[in-house]
Amino acid sequence: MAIEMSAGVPETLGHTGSLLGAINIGKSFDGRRTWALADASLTVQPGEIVCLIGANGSGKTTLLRCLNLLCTPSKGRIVFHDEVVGDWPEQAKIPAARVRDVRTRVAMVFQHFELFPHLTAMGNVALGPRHVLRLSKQDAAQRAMDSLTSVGLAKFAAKRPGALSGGQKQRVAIARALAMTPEIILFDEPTSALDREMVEEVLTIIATLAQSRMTMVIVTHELAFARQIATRVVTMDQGRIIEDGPADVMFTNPQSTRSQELLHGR
Amino acid sequence: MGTVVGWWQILWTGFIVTIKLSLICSVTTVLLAALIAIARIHPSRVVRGLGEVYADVLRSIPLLALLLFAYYGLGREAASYGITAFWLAVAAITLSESAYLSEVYRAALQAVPAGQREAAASLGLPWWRTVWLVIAPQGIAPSLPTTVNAVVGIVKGSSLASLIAISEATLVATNLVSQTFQPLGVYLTLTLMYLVILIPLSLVGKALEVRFGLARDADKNWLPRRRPLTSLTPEV
Amino acid sequence: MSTGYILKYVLQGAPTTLEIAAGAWVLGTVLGLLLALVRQPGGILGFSAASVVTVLRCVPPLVLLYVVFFGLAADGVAIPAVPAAAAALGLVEASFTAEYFRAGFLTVQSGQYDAAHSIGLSRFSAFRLVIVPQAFIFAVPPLLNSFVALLKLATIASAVGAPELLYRGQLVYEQSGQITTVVVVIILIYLLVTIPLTKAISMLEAKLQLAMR
Repeated sequence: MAIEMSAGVPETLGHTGSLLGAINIGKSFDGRRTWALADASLTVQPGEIVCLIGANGSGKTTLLRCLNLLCTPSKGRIVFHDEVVGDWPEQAKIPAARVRDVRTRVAMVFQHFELFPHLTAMGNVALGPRHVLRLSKQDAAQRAMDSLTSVGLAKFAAKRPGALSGGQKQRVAIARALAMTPEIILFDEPTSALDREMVEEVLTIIATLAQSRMTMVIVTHELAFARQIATRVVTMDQGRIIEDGPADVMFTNPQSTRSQELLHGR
Repeated sequence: MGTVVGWWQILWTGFIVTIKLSLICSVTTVLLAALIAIARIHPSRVVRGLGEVYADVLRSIPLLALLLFAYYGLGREAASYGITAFWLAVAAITLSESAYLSEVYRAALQAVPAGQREAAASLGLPWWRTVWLVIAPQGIAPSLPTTVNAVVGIVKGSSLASLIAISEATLVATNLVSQTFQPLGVYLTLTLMYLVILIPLSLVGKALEVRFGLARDADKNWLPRRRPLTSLTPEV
Repeated sequence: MSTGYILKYVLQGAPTTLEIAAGAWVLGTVLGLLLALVRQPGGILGFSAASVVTVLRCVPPLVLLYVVFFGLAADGVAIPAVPAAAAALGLVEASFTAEYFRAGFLTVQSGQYDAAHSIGLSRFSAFRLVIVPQAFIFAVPPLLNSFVALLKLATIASAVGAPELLYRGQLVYEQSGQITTVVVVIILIYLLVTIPLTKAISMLEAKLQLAMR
């Protein structure tokens, strides 16, 4: 099943068509006494915009971080383009090169931006293209510039993170992710650390990405925003997925009361 | 007074060796300490363990013991390869001081927020590039004050090289004493000359401490952040 | 010459090492505390105390030892090697201890001053009853660590003939020519003493940090 190509969305010729998936994931941080994640499954198709919604401690961030292997599951499988990347607990160590390969195609934007403070905005965005994608210095710089332009920060290329506002920092972080031409971008509460005034500018960028059909998984508390751009909504509570359905259905008529609470005025 | 000036000039010839020894040791110590510190944050437990063993062992052996071991143990062997006692002293001082400094560098590297490593990892950067491009650059500034203090320590340690016949300042002074029979005067002059070199260095270190808001001593890594002083007491 | 003999021979220097380290530690702690206290109020006196600390930090211990041992001896004040070493190292130690106490004073939150004042304690009493005890507790781990450091620093006393561990090692090497054995023995002695002590102090430090929250 071929997927139509549009800006930022690569062709996918898979049989199931799934891009990235977490299957029956369990995660314990304390030797299997308590489970931050229990039997959570999330599969993302190309072009989908999945919003992951839940209270703090519901495991949504943990699940997100399992998707790009920042967090190693205790149980379950991670699948990328229909290929199993890791299968726990039997999994021995995944070859570092494989992990890196997945990560070059799965980008992440962090709640606290995590820009590299010793580099300029340009330096931050060009780092990946230069040192991971092995582009030449000029090509990397060009790509970084394009990326910064697409988030409206071309003028700030030479600035250090310290001189940027929170909203600008997060936009640079998004530019940094985009510069890697990822197939999917994971957002971990991208606006939670921002003052109210700056939330808008970041959400606008994400909305633009949504329009260009970039596949995204967004952990967020911004319900209005989720309602606006999500194609699919997943609610979580206490490490489990409660409900997983199309955005319009979830927002109008979710099945479980918990989802109801989460999506309507929590 | 004229004698003191004369002593000064004689001792200065020794200080040239002291400075040479200290400079070379400073460079090698910083490099080796950085290497060990990076090893101690390596993903492989074996590598980390090796680094830890190195640091623990070499911090436990007194510098003078290392110098004497090198001299008596390897002296003849080394000489046959054309390696003089000077270089044995460089090796001993480097091994000893780098063990302490590596602890400081390790702490500085570990102080870089974990999110930085994650952000770099999520871009697909391999470990060593992450360290080289992201972690280590952020560890340099906080480490500067202690590095300067380490240099002070190296200069002080160089005086021990006099005991393995290296003609640095202290040995020159000892010889001078045996000629002039004025130990107090000569050694006080020697002290003064060390102070001339080391007090400015140590003041630079203090200034850097205030600048970077971090105070760490190689052995004792619990010193709190210094607030910029507003009292009358200058930051001496 | 058997290893056992060498080991015993060298170990006979242990009491001397301990004497030097202990003497220097006591002297250094007392003197360091005095210096830190004098420095506290600031002003000319504070500046002088701070200068003394800086000077002591910037002199190589060996040179200080020579000044005390050879320098004073020529002036008719003949001090035997061990006390001279303890004195010289004590001065060096004082420069570090002064810093530990000072850091201790700084660490104690300014809120403590406020709390003490608000129950009516005078500045001096507040200092004596609230700040100093807490500063002491903060200073304990580095003080203990510096004792361990002194055990190693005591080796320089061999330069003036004090019969501590390293000196004994040199002697037995001269007698036996067995450099490897002597080296291994000395290394093992220092490793087996300093590493456990250092680890124990780290554990104590962790406990203290927990207790002093």
